[in-house]
Amino acid sequence: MKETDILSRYKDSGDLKLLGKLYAPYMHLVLGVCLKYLKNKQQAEDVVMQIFEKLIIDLRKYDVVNLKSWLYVTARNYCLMELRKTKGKENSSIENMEFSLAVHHDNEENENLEEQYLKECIETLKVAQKQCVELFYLKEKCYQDITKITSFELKKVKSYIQNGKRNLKICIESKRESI
Amino acid sequence: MKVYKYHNEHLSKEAIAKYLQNEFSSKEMYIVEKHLLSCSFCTEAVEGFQDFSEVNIIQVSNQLQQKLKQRTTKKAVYYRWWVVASITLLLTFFIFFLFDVMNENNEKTAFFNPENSEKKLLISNETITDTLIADKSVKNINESDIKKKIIRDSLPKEINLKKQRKSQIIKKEIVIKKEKDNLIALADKEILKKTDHLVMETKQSKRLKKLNIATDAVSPVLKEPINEKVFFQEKSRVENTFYPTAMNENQDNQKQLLVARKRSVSGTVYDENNQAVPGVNIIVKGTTIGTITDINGKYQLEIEEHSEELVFSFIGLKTKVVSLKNKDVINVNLVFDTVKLSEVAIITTENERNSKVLGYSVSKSEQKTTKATPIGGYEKYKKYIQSFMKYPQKAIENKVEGVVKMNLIISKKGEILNILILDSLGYGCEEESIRLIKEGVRWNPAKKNGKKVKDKVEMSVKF
Repeated sequence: MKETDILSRYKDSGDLKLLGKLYAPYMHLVLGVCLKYLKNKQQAEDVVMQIFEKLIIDLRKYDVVNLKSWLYVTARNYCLMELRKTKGKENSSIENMEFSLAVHHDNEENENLEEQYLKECIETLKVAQKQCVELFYLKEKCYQDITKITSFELKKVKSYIQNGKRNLKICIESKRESI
Repeated sequence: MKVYKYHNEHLSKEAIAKYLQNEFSSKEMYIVEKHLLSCSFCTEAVEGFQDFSEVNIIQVSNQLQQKLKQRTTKKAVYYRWWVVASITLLLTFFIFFLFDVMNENNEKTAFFNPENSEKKLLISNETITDTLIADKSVKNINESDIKKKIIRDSLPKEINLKKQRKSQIIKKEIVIKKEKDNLIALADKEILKKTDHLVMETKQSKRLKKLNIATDAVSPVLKEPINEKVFFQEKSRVENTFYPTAMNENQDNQKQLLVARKRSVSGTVYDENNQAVPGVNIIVKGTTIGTITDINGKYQLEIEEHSEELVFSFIGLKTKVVSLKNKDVINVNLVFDTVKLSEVAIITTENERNSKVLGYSVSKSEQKTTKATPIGGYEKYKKYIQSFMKYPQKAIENKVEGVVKMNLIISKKGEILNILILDSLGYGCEEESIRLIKEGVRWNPAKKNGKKVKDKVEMSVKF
């Protein structure tokens, strides 16, 4: 059964078993997120269950299309609320969630064009970013391999790739719009 | 190797665990990392676990999933129990109801059967006589108990009294001790007398009777007061209800007691500088009994024997609580209670409406006033004077230079009412200044809180 089917069935019936089925595959991710924000194993485990209690109500109330990203935002907001409760007003500005929208290739022609953009844009990147992005995306090396090749720190490699990716995206989008 | 549990959705817990423990090949690691770049949920989860390397991801996740299972099935179990419980409850109610109905039927039949009711009466009579006999025997037994009780009662009382009011009771104690033998003998006699009464009584008040005997026995022996409030209250209550004839005698007794229970306390109240303080409130703590000190700071107060503390209070002095134990004269020094009142300033910078609203006397920190100004402003005015000034011939001849200082009085309407010369130069300079000012532009009148007012402006003209 598909996730969306289970979701709509839960919405109709309110059967907790169905909700359990929905939540179980994400629990470890929610736990990880809770650990990241709360930095307390016991509290994180409690919050994982508290979030489930929240889901019981919210998932019947709202129309959730993408459960995964919705759950991610819910979990993170819950953790931030917990932090705000305990530590007073902390930096709790919640960033907008990033929906990873798949890039659609309309046709062959466009694909070629995109590739061209990509090549052009990669050239505009800084040397370190360019090196890492190329190794990662084009040569499909993992972070550790890249650290060995480039002798950058693991953290640096990560940020180079992340930033490089973002810059590429911006670059390509601007090129697309300019036509 | 399948890295994703749900392909291209999110990383499984096993994948995260393996990734963090470097158990993947670099190809698999690459797949994980590529996913992480496009999935912030997984990224943050991995980051979270990275900080907690001691956490066994798979184990903890399984525990949580177990918990989830319990949570999702709990409701159903509860529901079943609830059903069982409600059914049993209903059944029990039904059974009780049945019994009730049956009993009611039985009673009805008994009521309408004269033979039955007669029998019942007979039985009840028998039981009454039985209880009476039983009562007598109980009383006989009780007599010996009572004797013991009196002795026991009197002893603890001694101890209690000792504790509470040592000085008063010490003397009495001696008396009590001396007469203890006497007491027991008397008490015996009393009891014998009373038992006749008691037989006549209904079985209502076994406890009260005991008490009665005890008090009757004790009071004539002691003669002197016993400060057991409860004791006397109880006694009088018993007597009022059962022995109205004996009341007079007892009232006398009580009066005696009340008078004896009062005592007087006196003293003087001083402040820190050993100055007598008149008008200090003195009150027995927890009562309304009190007085105030006279002009010499002296006071006298009739108090009840058992009163424990006196409270001295006066504005500007710290309230003091003094124990009354064994004291007839209490002199007190009260300490100054200096509490600084912080000054409160209410400032309104706004308009009049506010001061009315506040309803206090408001000292305005700043009144909104504007000085009178020449129409067009001082800059223009300065230029006017500079360009229209005719340097007096006499002043040129005498090489006079300097400043003419004047005070201008500007009316509400903006007219120049008067010009006063403060510093003069002579040689026609003043006249020229006055001419310039009089021929110059009109003035904007000064304003005070929005109202046009007369104003004085200082002005100097340079020659």
